[in-house]
Amino acid sequence: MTQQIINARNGCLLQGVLNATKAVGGFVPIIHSNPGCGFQGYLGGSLLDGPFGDEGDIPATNVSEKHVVFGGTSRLREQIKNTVKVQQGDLYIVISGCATELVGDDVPAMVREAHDQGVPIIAISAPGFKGDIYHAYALFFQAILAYLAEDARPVATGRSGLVNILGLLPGPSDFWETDLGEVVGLLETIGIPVNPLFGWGSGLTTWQQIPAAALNLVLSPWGIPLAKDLESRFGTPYLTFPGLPVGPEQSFHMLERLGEALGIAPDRISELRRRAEQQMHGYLRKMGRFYVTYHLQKTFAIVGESALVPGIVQFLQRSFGWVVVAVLITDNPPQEYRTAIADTLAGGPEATAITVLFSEDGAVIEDTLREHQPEIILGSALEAGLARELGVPLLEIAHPIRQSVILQKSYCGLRGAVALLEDLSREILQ
Amino acid sequence: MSEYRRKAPSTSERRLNAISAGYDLPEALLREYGEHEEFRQRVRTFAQDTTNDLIYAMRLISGMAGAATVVHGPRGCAMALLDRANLSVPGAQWAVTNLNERDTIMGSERVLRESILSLDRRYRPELIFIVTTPVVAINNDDVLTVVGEIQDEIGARLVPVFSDGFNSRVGRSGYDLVLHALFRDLIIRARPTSTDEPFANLITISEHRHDREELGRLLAALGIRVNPIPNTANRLGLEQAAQARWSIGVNPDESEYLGVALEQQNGVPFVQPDLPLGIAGTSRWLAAVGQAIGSETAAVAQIQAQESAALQSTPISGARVTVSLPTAYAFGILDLLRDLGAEAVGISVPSLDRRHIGKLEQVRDSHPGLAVHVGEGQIFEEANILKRLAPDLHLCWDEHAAVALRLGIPAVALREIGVLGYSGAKRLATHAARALRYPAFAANLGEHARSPYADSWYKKKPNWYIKHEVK
Repeated sequence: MTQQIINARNGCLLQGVLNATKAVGGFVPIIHSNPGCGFQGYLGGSLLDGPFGDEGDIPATNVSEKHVVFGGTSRLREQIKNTVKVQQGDLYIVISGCATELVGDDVPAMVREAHDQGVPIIAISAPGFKGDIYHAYALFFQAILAYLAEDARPVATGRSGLVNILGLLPGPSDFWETDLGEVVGLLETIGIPVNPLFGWGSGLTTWQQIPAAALNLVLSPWGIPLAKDLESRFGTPYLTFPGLPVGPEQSFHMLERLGEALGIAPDRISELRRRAEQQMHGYLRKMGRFYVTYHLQKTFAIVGESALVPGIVQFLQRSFGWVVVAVLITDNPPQEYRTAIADTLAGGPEATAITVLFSEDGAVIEDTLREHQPEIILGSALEAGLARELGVPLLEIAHPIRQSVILQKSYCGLRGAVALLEDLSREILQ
Repeated sequence: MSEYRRKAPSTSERRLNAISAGYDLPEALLREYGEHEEFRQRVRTFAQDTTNDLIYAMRLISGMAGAATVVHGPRGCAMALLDRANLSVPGAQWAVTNLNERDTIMGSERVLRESILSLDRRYRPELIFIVTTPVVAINNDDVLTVVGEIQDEIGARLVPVFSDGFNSRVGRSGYDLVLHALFRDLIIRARPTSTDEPFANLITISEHRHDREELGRLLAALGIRVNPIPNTANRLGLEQAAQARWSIGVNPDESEYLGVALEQQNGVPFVQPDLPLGIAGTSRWLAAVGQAIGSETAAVAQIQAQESAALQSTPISGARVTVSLPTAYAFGILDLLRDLGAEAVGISVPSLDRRHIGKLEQVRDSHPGLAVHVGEGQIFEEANILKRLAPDLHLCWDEHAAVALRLGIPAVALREIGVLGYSGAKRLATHAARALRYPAFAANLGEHARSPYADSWYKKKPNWYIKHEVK
């Protein structure tokens, strides 16, 4: 595997920590780097603003040549002092980037100084040369947990049966909030309350509630180390799934296991399952004639994150009769989880024919798609050129999304699976 | 010739005495310039993340035909290339060297070499730009040695662009970095080729497709064959630039570097009128171009008469308008607003430099009470100013739209419209009138928005956190 990446889609550690910080109510980022680190993430991010609608308002030291030569700590001190006055926050997070890390600014000292004056503040060292947005997820989590532990704040009493959802990155995918919303909605149907860590309803209080949860629900490999850590720290059990559930079969598989773990009466869940399956079958029945008349049975390739791809592939294979010819997972999940992902994908009827690759390199992705000649591609705007070349439709399901506006839409859960069928059909008709 | 052979030009601060922070009346700025023979540098003690030269450089390169880009740095430095504008360019290809911690210590020439070779092998581009980043600038990686080693092995011309993200506070400096690199590595080295008929370089940098088409159309009507550079240009277009009969600039702030280089080094006369914005502004631009190239005055007058008749109504008459635009646009639009019967009540520009002295004098005389805000991406200052001014309409570049909407002020982002020339003026008037007449979206947002800033910030002066730099 080469180090360089053609047409790279995943941002850096700093941009990942910044995305996470912006996604929690009351958390205020302070970038300590040259100008442009956050703005790169903004330009390369969603076309839309985040949950709190203030994408461009990122306090930053914008260090210049002078600070690179002589150090930027005094500039950081000044920025912290004034950020507190301009933007109210429950927690300020200094995110240091490549430039200030390379010149060796003593960021922790500046943060300690402000902390000693009563400012709720932490530092996260996040130079882009140390990782990508996916590594930023655990880094952010651990930094907040360390702060809460060190600060010895009382753990708020959680509601019984509370669940934390782990492994879904807050951005840059346009779908992160809506996917999370679908999962929360599913859990609520069987009476499980979710502790919102990102997006609406999130805030310092919900992060303080993490140890009070009855269970941690893990929906991608990126949440597994955290779940293990929370289990060892607080004794919280966890359940892992190979990604977001898509359609009734996967959704109720998840709900049944959750129900079992949390002591929810199975009758209640099975009744809901029966109704959801009936509804899905109703939709599929409606599509029957259309499916045959317009030759909707397609071969497809999918390019996306490990959190979403397995669920979509399984749903399209098992419920819709589609034939997957290539799967490209773009978030580089740690090696130890790759076999499990590949096994999950191989569970379909066309097991031997599937090519599963883990790569974010545009060249590898293009070559693979070209080789397998799918009849439709589920991917990102970066696959648009190749879709044009092959003369096949593209449905944007992954970052970067450049042809759709995602406000409520998700392709997971129960409603999401229906939306997926609607949108795939629309792309084929067009 | 020597200054054009250097790795990079001086920053806008050193070359043009550019400033990127401030909130002053034109009178005060002119007095300061008179007393000190320069604008004094200002710094912010509270700032928000903003753009930089690297982002501007990538934006310009991504509009060029047959070009590929190696962003030499950590992966995050290439994210701006996922911008919708770049992805809509067919065939846009780039690689990021994806530097890791070891590279920052041991150097990264190997991966740079591999990145260049892989782009060349795979896409066979005419040009490969190597754009450097803060990490490479700090570590002083030897890009030129790598370029020298492999240039002869590959078909593409290698063009290193030495951006660093921190030397200049003026993002637009990134355009100069690219223009300098193109001049150094392509234009100076080009061998003269035979061309059939005289042509003019149209120096176009950040203009919208509509603008390029409009200005090309007007120049064609004057009988001028146009070679647009560098935006949309391919290698041949750049290599022929020195043989042009004239160079015609569109945006004076952006085209100056290349226009002057071609004039000084190659003797290509540089025609640089003010930005062709608005009916009168476009007519002036056309007249200046016509005069410089020796067109018949009657021919120019005929075009002006035909084109300018089309803008009749002034549906934004009486509106109080704020503008937050690139400097040439912000100053240029004041006349257009006046022609439309609107009143400019606020103006924000990303930077000011000594080239704008004449414009400041005009603003002092025409709008004596109009303070000029200088800052790019400093949304908190714009929020403070907009809240005080409560305009009816905000004309801006897209990044500056949200702040107005949050305050319930209808906004029109001009970048995606293409507002230059006669047809651009009509499009601008149409969009502005619509936003003003049907403000429901902004009103709705304003009613339900929450400010990210403390109430106390709005009670402070907008330039509270701007100080003169202590040298």
